[in-house]
Amino acid sequence: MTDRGPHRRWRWSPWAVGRSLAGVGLAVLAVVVGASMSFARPVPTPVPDQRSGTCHLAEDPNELIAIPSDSAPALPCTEPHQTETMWVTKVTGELASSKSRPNGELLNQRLSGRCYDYGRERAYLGAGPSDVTWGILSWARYPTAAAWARGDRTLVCQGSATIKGASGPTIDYRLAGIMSTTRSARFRMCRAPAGLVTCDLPHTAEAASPNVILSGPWPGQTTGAKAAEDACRPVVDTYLGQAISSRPELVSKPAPTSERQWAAGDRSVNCWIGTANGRLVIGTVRGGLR
Amino acid sequence: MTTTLAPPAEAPPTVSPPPQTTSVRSVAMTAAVTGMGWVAVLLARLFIGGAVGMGDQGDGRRLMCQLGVRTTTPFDASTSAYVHPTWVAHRWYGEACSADGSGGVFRSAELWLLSLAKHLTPILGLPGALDLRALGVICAVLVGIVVAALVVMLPGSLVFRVVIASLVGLLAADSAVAQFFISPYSEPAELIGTLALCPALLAIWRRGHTTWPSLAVVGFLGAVVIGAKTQAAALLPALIVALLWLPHGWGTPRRGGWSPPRPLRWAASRFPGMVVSALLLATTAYFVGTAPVGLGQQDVYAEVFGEILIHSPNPAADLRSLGADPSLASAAGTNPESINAATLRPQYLLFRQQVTQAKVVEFYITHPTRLFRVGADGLKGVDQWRQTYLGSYLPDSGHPPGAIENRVGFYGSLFQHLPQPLLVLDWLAILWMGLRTARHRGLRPAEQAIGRLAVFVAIASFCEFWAVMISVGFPDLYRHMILTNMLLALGVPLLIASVAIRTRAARYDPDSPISAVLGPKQWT
Repeated sequence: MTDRGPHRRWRWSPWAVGRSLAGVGLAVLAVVVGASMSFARPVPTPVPDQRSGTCHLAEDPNELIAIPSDSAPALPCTEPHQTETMWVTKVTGELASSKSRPNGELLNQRLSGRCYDYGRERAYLGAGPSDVTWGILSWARYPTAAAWARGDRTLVCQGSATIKGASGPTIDYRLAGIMSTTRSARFRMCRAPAGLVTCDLPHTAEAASPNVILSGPWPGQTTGAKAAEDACRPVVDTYLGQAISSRPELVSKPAPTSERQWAAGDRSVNCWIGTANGRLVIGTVRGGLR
Repeated sequence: MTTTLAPPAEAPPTVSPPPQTTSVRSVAMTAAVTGMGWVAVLLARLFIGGAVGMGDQGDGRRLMCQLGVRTTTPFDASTSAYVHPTWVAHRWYGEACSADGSGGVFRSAELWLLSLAKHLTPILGLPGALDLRALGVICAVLVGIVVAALVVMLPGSLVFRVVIASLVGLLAADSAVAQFFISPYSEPAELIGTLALCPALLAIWRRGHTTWPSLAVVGFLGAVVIGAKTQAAALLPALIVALLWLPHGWGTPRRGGWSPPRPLRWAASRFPGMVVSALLLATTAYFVGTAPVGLGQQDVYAEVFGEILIHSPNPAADLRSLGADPSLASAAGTNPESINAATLRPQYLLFRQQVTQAKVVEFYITHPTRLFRVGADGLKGVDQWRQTYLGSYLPDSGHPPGAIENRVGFYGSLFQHLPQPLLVLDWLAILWMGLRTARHRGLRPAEQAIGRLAVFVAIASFCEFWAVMISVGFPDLYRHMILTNMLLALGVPLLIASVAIRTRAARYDPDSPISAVLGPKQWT
């Protein structure tokens, strides 16, 4: 890298100075224009209504799954939406004292259990003792990093339907009290040849609650099955809102424990209501729904 | 006495080959035809037989959301197994449109290309608010412009220009590179911007001195490339060398003026290059300084737990050196979502405050021997040549999920699975041949410029390689290494061009070994 022409001599002229200034200006303009191409375009961050019973959009799968906060405004629950605020609580404990918001993994590990409260969830959905809730996802939403730094420690627990099909958890009705309506088929447990499904999908049996507990020594397979049948009859009658004997298309199909499970102390029997001919059906047989 | 500050018009040395005269008109025509030809080639390779792009492993949202669009990928489908090019209008709020939900806004010059694609989508009759196939069309046109510009800026015969420029076009069409052109990532601006730097750098060197317009173009493209992706900031040293390599053509000062001392003369003759370098430095500082904190923490996690600790004989000691809690050593080899990840422990809250990118750099400075293992890992990424876990095809293409397109693989066939020592030798050959060509006294400045460009890509690929390895390490290496790989591959046409130019010069040099065998060529 050597200069050419070692005998150069300089003399300033207005023309040379002007041209240099114009050159500097051109270079500045070029770099600034280049850099401005990557100027970010931030989006608004409103403080949304997150009271219990409000519904929210999370149409992009990442919005639903990967984002720790939810700033989306509430919308009427009769419009298509993905999440519904079930209850609101506060972040407490060790993490609450952190001045900056802890990372999402740690927040979820320590706090998401506050949103996976099965009893509270059942109460929100309006589930009675006979109902087996299934197909509900819980999401813990934390304050934004900026709100956390300002001292906000609100923990919002949202619920959604499970992610199945192209539209995922999108629904256009409320989750609150859903178990007393016919739409609850999407949130009930059913059994299909391939495994457990929600009852809005083809199935051969529907779960009723509560499970019954047998006692005493191992009764043997045949006697055990008869005992399970007898124990489940009132459960399924309550579930149907009528005696199963008055529904010839249905049969009680208890799932008793095996001898090995019995020996291990598991003596519970799951009560199922199956189709008499084993054919696949869609929907729920729960009685008394609106 | 010479009175010009511009390099004097050199009389060709007697050993120099005659200039290959090509009319401006024929060069322009050839450039236009070659450029359009490569637009057609790119469009064909991107769209014939179904669009080919790259699936989204989740990073796409952080850019696309800023344009008010969201993916149409069904909830129950994998975004990475297939390319889902259509994005629909969507109102984003808060951290949902931030870098991985961290709250920081992701910046990239790619936003400009994507914005252009958004405007082009309805014009091309594509569905949705923004279809990434429109981006593919834009990228094809930009590659054509780069190839045409190369034909104009390269020295030599028209055939030579077309061949070298087409080798660069072929690199852009390579399956490892072109798949980014239909993707929501920031790489298209980074890769095409880097390719565009080639004719721009030839322009600042081809006269033997720089000019303000040529420096401004390099400054603009440099800002775009660095602004596209923070890792591309590693190109800054190579850009500064390029900008300061030759003096500026100040014009003709008057006779009898003051003659400054040599160092001052050197600095004064590089003042315009220094201005642009300073601007690029400030731009780089701005982008690095405003990069989302959350992303930086992810990168530090990947580097520490995915690179430093897995090669460490004493992970706890390394964590102490980094200023972190040594009890996190059991998380070596994890990623932030692993069941044994450090992110699940309260100590991590302190770790993310105390262990920064600067701390990692300081660690390597104080533990330089550890760089050997890091470098070996990096070479694995280079000889892998391309990412292999993000599908290339659309869902209705008939290809299985995650299928990778590999129709254009000239550079892949050269570099993929090349033994690592050969990769190093290749890099050394580019640097050596570049320096020899740049300093060859028998060549004209426009020919020496090819050597300078080879030196630029050698420095840039070296810096980018280490920037990737020290910032994120092995995790997702094959995707991050694409710029390094492309720069290394750019060395191939430059190596060929340098050899061709030097061979031609040697044929006219009666003292050269080749002339001794074949006899020297004479001026006609």
